[in-house]
Amino acid sequence: MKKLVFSILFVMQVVFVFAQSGTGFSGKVVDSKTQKPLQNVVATVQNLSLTEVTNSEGKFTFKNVPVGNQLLLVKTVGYKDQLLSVDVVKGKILDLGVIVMTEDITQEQQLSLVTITDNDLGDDNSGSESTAGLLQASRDVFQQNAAFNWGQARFRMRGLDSEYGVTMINGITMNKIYDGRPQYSNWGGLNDATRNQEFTNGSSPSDYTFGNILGTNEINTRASLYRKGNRVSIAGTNTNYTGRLMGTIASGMRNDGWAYVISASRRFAQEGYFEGTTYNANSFFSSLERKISSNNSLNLTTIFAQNRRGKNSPNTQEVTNLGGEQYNSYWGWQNGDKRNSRVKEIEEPIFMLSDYWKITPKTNLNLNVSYQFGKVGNSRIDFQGANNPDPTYYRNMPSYYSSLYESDPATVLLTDPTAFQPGGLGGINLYNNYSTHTDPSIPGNIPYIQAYNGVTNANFLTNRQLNWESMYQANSAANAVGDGAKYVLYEDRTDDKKWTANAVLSSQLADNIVLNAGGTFTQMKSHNFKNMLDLLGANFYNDLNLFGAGDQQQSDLNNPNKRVGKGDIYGYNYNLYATKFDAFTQFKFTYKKVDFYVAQTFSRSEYQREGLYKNGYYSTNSLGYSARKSFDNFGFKGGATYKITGRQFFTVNGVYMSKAPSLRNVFSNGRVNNNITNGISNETIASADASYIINSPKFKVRLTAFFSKISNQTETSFFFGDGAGIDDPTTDTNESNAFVAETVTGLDKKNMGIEFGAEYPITSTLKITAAASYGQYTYDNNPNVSISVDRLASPSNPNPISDYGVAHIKNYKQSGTPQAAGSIGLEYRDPKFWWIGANANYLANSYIDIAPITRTDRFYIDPASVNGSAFPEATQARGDELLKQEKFDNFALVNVTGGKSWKFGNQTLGFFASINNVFDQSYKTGGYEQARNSNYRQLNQDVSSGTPAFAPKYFYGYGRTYFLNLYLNF
Amino acid sequence: MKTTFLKSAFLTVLTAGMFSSCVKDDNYSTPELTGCTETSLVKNREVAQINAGATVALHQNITTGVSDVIEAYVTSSDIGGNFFKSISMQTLDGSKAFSVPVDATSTFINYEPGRKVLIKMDGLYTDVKYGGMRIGGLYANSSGGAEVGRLPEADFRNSVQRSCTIVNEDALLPATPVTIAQATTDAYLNRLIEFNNVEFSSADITTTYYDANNDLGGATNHTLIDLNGNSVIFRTSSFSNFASKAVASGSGKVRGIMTKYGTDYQFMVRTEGDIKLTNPRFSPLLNEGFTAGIGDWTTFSVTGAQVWTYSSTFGNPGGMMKMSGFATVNNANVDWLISPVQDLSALTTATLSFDNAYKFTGAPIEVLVSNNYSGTGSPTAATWTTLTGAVLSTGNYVYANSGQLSLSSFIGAGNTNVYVAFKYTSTSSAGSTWEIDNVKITGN
Repeated sequence: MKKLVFSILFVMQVVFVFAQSGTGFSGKVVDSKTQKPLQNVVATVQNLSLTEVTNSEGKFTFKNVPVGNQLLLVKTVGYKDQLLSVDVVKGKILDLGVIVMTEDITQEQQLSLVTITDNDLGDDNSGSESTAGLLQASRDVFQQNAAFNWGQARFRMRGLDSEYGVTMINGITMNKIYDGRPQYSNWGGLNDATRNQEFTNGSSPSDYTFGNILGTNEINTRASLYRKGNRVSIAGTNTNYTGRLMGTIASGMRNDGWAYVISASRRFAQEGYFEGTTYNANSFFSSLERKISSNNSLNLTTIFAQNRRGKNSPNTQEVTNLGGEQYNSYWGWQNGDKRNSRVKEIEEPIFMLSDYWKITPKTNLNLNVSYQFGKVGNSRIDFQGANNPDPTYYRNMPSYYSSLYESDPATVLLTDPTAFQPGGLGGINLYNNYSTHTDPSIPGNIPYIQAYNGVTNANFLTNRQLNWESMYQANSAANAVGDGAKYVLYEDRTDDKKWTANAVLSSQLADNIVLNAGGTFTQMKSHNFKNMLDLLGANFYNDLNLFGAGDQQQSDLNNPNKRVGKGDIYGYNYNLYATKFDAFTQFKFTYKKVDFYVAQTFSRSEYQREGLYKNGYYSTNSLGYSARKSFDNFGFKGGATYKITGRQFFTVNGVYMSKAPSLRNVFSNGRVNNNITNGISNETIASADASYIINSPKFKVRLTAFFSKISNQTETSFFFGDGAGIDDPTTDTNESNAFVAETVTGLDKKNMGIEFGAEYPITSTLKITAAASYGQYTYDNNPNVSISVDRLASPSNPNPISDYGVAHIKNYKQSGTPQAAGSIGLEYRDPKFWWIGANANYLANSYIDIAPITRTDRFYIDPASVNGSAFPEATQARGDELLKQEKFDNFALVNVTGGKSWKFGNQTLGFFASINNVFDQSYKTGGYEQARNSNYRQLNQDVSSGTPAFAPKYFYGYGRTYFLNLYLNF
Repeated sequence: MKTTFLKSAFLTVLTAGMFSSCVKDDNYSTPELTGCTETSLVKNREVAQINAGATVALHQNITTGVSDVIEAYVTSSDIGGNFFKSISMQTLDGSKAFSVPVDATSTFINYEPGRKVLIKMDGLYTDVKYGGMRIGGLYANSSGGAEVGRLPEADFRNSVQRSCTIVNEDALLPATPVTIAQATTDAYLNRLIEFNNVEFSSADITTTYYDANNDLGGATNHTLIDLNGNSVIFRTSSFSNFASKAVASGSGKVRGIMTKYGTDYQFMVRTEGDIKLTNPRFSPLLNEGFTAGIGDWTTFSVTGAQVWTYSSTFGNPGGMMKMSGFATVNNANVDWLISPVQDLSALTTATLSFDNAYKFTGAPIEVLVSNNYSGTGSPTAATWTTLTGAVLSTGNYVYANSGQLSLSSFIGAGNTNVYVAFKYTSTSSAGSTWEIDNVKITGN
């Protein structure tokens, strides 16, 4: 830190150098520890688009800088930014002397961040896609807080899903076409190799793409950008993995015109933070660059990240009370090993060939071709004609018994004449009324006694985990009678093949005008199917859907009554095709007082499904190609920065764009049919933000107000009947053991709020940071809900949509993120290369994910009534109470980080250590309502029992965790 | 020196880490299934002794001191979904059998047929329902009374414990095979039995084991017939995993459990594998002896006032159908006698035979077959094929059997609506009297 001060002093002592002509300045950048020159450091004159890169001697020179006070930003990966004030004198090239760069501790922090983003893989129902992964490259105080301190609590910047950010590698978008989200696991564990990142916030202009409203993160893997050096590190933690080994070799640009980077890592855990969560990840990275000429380089990047991890279950409060927050229902013992039934496996290697062509000194063209293929598998147990093996299946829980009701009206009225009057329960809770029904000699008391005994004898109390042995035993019994397997382990597989080609142009058209333009063409084929992993000792499995009758049982009428063996495809089998073209242009203007930009984009997306099975429910519309659906979209954005002074800015950004629905929402029931979601169309997005920024070498502040409205969204979700099913309104069947698809269309969301970040060095060694976000993220209209029920399908009704009408969800809160967050931190950096930091965070206003179906008018309607009348006991007041959105408890998290490094010759040995959630605060990161109780009576009875059988399920954050990384640079 | 040490130390740890960081998340070995923990229960009572206490009325077994423990062998199984929340058991010699209603599913995993179980009777209830003994928990029935009901799962686990002994279920069968007539008695309820030489009724073999159009409380009752013509209800639940399979058309053996509802004996199999009807059928699909009237047959008069009539006498034996165009004088007549619809689509062979007799001069009777007759009204709109080669009566009301007339053109796919008909023709100058009896279609 002393050296930093020293370097600033240097700048003040302006030295004239007459050897060079022009108006500007020059400098030499060195590493604070080694005092060696640093190559490829980017030096930028703020507010002018003047950028230089240091040469092999660490030197840079600006020759054409306007006279006056200018701010120089010097930055490079792995080091803290340096912001220097320079007085430019006409006709002189000032020598700033040596600029000393100190290592950036957040770089080490990034290495621990990945433990959060790995969990962002979008577990089927979590809805808690954190944006931390997007932000890790940012130097903004607020964003660093959002990533490193709030990320563990699933904080989403501006309340936006990562679908609204763009993550790119070399300008190629890595967001999946299927759901619009990036699959971080595709390059997980390669922190060293993916360090070159550039983040642009919100809709601010990126040089590579039009972007979206959350921000864009560009990862650059060009080999010559990596500083020459080798690094190995060993980390231990108790989050989702326990150990990590990583090694990286970078050659830098060699004299023979070649540069290469090789990096590999392994992360592992026999059991992570949650019970039974295995972790097994190997990652490999290589980048090879060949300088063809001084203006042209070719680069080949290969990324291969394998990731296998056992998932953990969301749990109801009841399960957590019995099993603890780390309880996971997905595993069971098998021969002394914990075996997890829900393993996610990702293997999607990426190959990328890039050409960097400096056409003229002011025009750069970057061409990329990328091919990605591989598989994503999510394993699960399939069962047929046997009990649901889930130990937390609702019938196994004490709450099942304590929420049982006597429902025969005559019997109910004998005990409670008010049961069917407004405010009543429509039944008698057996367990709660046991005390007056204890005499077993009265037959009418039997159900009460059984409910009472059931609570203490519920299966879960003695069998908390999956019973693999019992499943093997069941299959062995099936073998004995020549029957198919009762239980099998399969995976839902997605095998994608994706080609992308793009071109990104950047040209300095005039001194104050920069043009960015680009075009991308993407073609993808996605093969989706059920893959048999393990017959669990059985000889075969019958590919039948026993919930159907006759032909409905067949997954493929062209190959009926199929017997499935290990490695066979069954159940469903289809391809999705997507073709996407997009292009953008962007003009950035830089003037003395004002900078501004405008950008526009056009894209066309075309989707199609190809069924490979003739499904028994959908014999006429499941096999072969669906209609081709295309979406055309435009976007316009612009913004300006007004320079109040050289260090104070006022910035506004605005964007209006439309966005194609993601593939998964277009074919909402794609596993079984070719139907395109009714009324699906583009989303429209309008967003604006305004910021006041102070950026001085000493004091940094940003205050931003933001507003965004996303209209006409489509959300689809699937429910299996095993406890998360939907009641069939036509029959009031409480157990519709079928696969139903719920579609919410025309959904509007409004996100508004303010962000604040500030950083102030109290002394040269002590720095204080503060950050806060206060937002209001709500649903902004009452969208339409419909359900597709396979059972109702027939050749004459190939699209069995049951319209539930409008869901009254306007002003309900969006879920999955704390809507308010605050942080204050202190960081002490000792001149002897050690540092320690601590921060306290408060996270508030996090809400549960509501089930739209219960907010439809059908909620009050008694399905048993002839003319669709409401439940007689229903009252609006109680209904509102039942449907009130649950708000999670606010909580505080304290994190401590520290590190030290030693230098031995050319080697640096260091460690980074952090303890997150020091006080072991328990908190929920998300949760969702089970849609099972879709009518008033069921929900009222269930909730009124005090122990609902279909209570919401929650995800919990980690308790106190540590991360320790030991590294050696050589 | 120091630096190389650091480097090599790091690389050593790294390599060691690589090897020691194997994660077991795949390739699990199959669990050893032979492992079994023997129950601590020891038999101290015979089932017969318990049964003595059980009457039709509810009886609670209360023990002072050591609980009564009985021993039995499982006969039923819910593996095929046909049995649901009820386990049938018998003694090894079959002298006593009973059912245990339980509030548990997938009981086949631990209580498979042939498994010896020990039942701790303390606190359990027994009664006799429809002639069958039950051991279980309590249930308040709709009339407000108590009877044996499903044993809550926890009580079931506690009171009904499996032993490690399992016998081949063949050992549970009666020493000599029983017939339907013998087995339709209360003594055989819940026992494992196997019928020889049985087949499904001809109406059944054109449908599935569970037929939604023939639903009785979530199940379908078919009829199993033996060589002696005795029959028993064969019941299949809609939840059974063979519900949608076609009913076996052959004859042979069927193994299962006798149950009873009300006064109806209902035979139930556990899996489709219990049905071993691999031999050719022995009973006709259609067998009309006109013993009690015209039955499902229809008549149609194309011309003439005279019609087919039923006679309760002069059949071969018993009743028969007859037609004569003579009424004081001969009259011109065309009259049809048409069988009920026959579904021959599932058959690979089929033949028709009938007995016939006539007197007086006139045109011979014609035998016709159609697969596009509407079933009602005039048959003339349909296409009829004449079957030739029938052996006809020599006259004077002497019955002759037609012999086996091939229906090979009317079997297999599409032949779901087959009718056979007898067409009588007389003129004003000549008219015989024809008598028809014992019309049979046999096939397989």
